[in-house]
Amino acid sequence: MPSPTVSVYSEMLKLALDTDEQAASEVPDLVNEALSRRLDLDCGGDAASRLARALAYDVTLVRLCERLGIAHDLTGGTAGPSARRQVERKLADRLPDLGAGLRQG
Amino acid sequence: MFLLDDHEVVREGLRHLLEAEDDMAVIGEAATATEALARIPELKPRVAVLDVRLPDGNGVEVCREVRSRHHDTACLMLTSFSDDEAVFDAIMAGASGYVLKEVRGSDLVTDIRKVAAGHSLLDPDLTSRVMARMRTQKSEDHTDQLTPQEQRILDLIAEGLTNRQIAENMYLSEKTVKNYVSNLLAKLGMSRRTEAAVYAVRHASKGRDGFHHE
Repeated sequence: MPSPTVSVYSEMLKLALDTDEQAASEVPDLVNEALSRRLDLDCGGDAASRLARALAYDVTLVRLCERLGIAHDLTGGTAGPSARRQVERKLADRLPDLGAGLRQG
Repeated sequence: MFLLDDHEVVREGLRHLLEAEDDMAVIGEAATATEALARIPELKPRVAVLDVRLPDGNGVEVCREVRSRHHDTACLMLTSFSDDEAVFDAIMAGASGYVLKEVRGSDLVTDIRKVAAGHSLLDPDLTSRVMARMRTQKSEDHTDQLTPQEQRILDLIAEGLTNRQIAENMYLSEKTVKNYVSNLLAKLGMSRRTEAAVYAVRHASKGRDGFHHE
């Protein structure tokens, strides 16, 4: 059985989660954080800045999933836009405020 | 292994290099993105080595498609030059690594082995820069790092003013404004003023206090 494949992004996301101090945040704070971070995704910049913003957003999504007991594959080998869209859909179903914000963004 | 490159000579060279190794076999090749997307799902290679630039698209799109449907295939991007945009796109598409075409053969073999074993080729320099920027983002809003003068200039950039117009508006020399703009772009981790303008508009729309000055 071969080892699962790992992407550069999923490995960076694991590192980001390991060093993140957001774990204690409450759901409403995390929702605001997620909406804010999502808006930041379009701000451009060099690869490091854009990756940092993408990771910051995904870290918040992972924390929200953990708080709400929602399964996600963001840290799996498929981390990236397609895994993120699935998580956003799941979160939007559970959190109408977040769902509305995501649709506006 | 699956090889995607529009140059037959490159594919041939790679095949010879990889097949000289006891534990590697090239099970398929393609010269175009379309051909690769048709063959990779069928062949299910452990690693797909993908050229970024292709006549009918690019290897990043192939990577994204492969990674979203076939999680067991790792993608290693092969690029002719270190392009910031391509690096970002490849990482976001789920690549396990990217290597320059001028890589030494033995290094490429090592890299492919790592990827095949389920590791990614994290670039230590890029990773540390990304983590440092994340910490900066977390600890404070970028705009908090700007002086009041820089914040005012950022607002004027967001309104679409040129350096000359900003200079006239703020009674400064154009050269001084240029220096302010360079500093604020560096603080925001951006390279173009249009990015700063988008950032400013986004943050102003979120109603952050002390940022949008009318």
